[in-house]
Amino acid sequence: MKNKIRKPLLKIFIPSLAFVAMFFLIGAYVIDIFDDGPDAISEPRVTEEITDDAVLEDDSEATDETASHRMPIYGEWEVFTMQDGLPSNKVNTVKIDGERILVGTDQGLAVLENNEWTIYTPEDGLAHRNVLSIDVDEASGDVWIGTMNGLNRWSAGVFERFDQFNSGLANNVVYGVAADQRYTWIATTAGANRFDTYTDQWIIFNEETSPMHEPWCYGIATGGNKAYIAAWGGGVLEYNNDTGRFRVYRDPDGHFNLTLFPDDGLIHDITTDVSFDNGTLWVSTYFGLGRYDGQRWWGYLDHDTGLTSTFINAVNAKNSVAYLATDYGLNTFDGTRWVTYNTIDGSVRGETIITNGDTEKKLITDSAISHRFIWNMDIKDDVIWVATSYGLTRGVVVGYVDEMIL
Amino acid sequence: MKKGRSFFPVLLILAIFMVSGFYSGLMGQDQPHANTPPEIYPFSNFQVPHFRHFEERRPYYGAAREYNYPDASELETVRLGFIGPLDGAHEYYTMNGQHMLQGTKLAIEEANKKGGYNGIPFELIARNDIGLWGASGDEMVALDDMGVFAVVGSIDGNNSHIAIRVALKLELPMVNTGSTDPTLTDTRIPWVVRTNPDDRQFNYAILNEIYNKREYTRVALLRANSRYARVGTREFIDGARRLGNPVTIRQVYYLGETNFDAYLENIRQADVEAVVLWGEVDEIARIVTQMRESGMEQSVFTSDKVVSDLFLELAGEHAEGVIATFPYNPDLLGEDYNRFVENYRERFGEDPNWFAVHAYDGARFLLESIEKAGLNRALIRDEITSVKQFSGITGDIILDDSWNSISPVWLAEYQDGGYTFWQYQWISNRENQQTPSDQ
Repeated sequence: MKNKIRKPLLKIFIPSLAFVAMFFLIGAYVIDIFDDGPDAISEPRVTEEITDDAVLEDDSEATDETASHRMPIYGEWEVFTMQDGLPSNKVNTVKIDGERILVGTDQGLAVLENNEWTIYTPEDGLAHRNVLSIDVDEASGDVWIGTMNGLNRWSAGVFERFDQFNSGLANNVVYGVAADQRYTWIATTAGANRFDTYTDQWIIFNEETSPMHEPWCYGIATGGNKAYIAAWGGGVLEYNNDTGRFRVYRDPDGHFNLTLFPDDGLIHDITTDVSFDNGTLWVSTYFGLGRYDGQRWWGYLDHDTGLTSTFINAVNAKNSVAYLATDYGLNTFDGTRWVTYNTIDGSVRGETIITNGDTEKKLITDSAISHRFIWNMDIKDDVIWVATSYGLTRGVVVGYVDEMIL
Repeated sequence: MKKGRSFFPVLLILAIFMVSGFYSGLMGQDQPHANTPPEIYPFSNFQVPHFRHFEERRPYYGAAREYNYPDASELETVRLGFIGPLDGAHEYYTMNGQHMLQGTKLAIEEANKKGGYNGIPFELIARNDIGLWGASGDEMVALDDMGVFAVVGSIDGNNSHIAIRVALKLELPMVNTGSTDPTLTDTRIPWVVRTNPDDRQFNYAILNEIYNKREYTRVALLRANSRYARVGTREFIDGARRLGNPVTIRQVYYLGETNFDAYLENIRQADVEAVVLWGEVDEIARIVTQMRESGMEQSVFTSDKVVSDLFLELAGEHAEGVIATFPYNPDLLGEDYNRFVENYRERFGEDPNWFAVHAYDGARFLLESIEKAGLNRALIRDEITSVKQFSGITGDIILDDSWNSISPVWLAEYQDGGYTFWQYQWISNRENQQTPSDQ
């Protein structure tokens, strides 16, 4: 009797269940499409993978003059960690100073000169062990060092310390420093400074003394007799040394949780760094990259460009190429082409991805940057030094994007 | 018949798979960022954004999990940091800072009674963040120098911003339990979690009450010339405009002002039905007093700050009818909350306020995370940022993808010597609902 009842029930129940399941499946698919919106429907990139570094060697004949206008590809990565003499594997920043390399770690300043490391700590006069920023005054040779507890001027072997108690330093946490001949500019966690090295005069710029929407300064750069301040939450402030006036660049949509249009102005107000090169202002944020040529802005996100991550810790532009320290690799960008350098998990090998529009070319390299989380970098001639979350890495130019057929 | 039998089990498995997949997909859907109602999402009436941030949680890709941290066997105590306004001129902040510290202490003392971390007691190191300008940065560095594994704090939006940016560079986990600054967690710092709702959500509650429930159309806003009030009222101003009722009159008073007659006269002439006030407790008390004494009877809406003994003392009888936002309803809380209140009274000789309650919840959340993750800052970070919901003595604390609390928000009206609470729930299409004042 039970079987007689069950069979017809099963006959009805199972197809019904299948029908309901199909209904849900179609429903879920429709919801998925609408949730993602039109942006989710995009053509896949054409990717070509090359595993032979030798293809890049053809470019070695490039002259210095043409090289300065072409987009380099770096490789032959050499890694430095505590095993090699660094005081810590956490490397916040790096600066090339002639023949020596200045490295800011969370356990002191490391200097590489003649293949030997020298470590400086608070016992030597360093303001704090955690070094966040370094710049060199090319005119005097003085080294400016921003730390978690004050600013140092390292001159003639002596560390001079500046803090909130003995100077006009806006705050003791110094995220950025830029030495520009007479003036040294400083970005602190609660305001920016201009220090006149001729007169020892300090000027503090914050929300009370400048059009700074928020006073939390992260990065600073100079160029064209101007200073650029990346004010976290307040966009970018441009200070003109000739007029003493500010100009402010903000995200026009004014919202942290969206990008209304990518090219309507500065892409986001949570700025982390700035760099001015060849008439172009580059701005890194934790929500993408901004570029301003004096007339219009461009904004770049990671879902529709070669940008590897929108979480960008620092930007440094040289010879019309922007170098980007992201939390997921090192990027370079010349306004059209992108190059991404990354590590391959579980391997010492790396990958270099060249992106031009919808076309990608991937190169597998025998060496790699020590870690994909990049804090900062510095570039000079054909050498790049990269400060990462785990170690310091040196790379050299091994070719140019221009010769790669994309 | 045989064909049918072989087909149905396959179909049945497929059906169960599809249904369960769809169901789990639904259950896995995240709450919208900051619980913003679609009607007042920025530009929603005009333009779909090119990109929405905070649609998913940002992973941490750094190497801090691999750094060397002290081994438990080397430690006499497991150090945790606290920063907050503990000593200074501003009574409201220092009072709440002390409550916040006491709530944190109580959580730690209870954890230590249960054996601490594998038998090692937790040690709380408290620092004041309202001393020298930007002191929270220095204090975070000092806590790092002392080897803390994580930090609880703070209240003031400015100081909290400085602290979280230092936490980012130090790679030091932080649980914020007291700041209502909406922008704090919109900075995408993957080391910070906030366990209390912010002013943006409080603004939504007021918008809903004023425009959707009461259907007022003419509203005045009077706020302090401070960052707290500027940031704290932005969503109200924007939301009112998006609902088709731009704020009728907006005024900003200078800090230190005590006579608000001129502002109130402007409001009177604007013929509004409600007034929204945003500032410090003493200022709100003065404004409400001057409003009522001059015969202005409009509804008054304001922030959580006035749900305090200090406001009742300063405003006296004029506190009657003032409606404020609040992060929970103490009347509905259960045994855990009552036990906490008893223990708090016994330990500190006073009743806890919401800063103490949320600090207790936030500290317990952190301590449990340390228990699971071990003595590794990055793993503690992984733990606190992986949680989408946890149980506190104030109820379920829900975290969105910016690690901001989007737990229920309440409104509180002071009536006949006590507060009446009701939960905010956004009303679409302006359905009529009664509030305690209407009943």
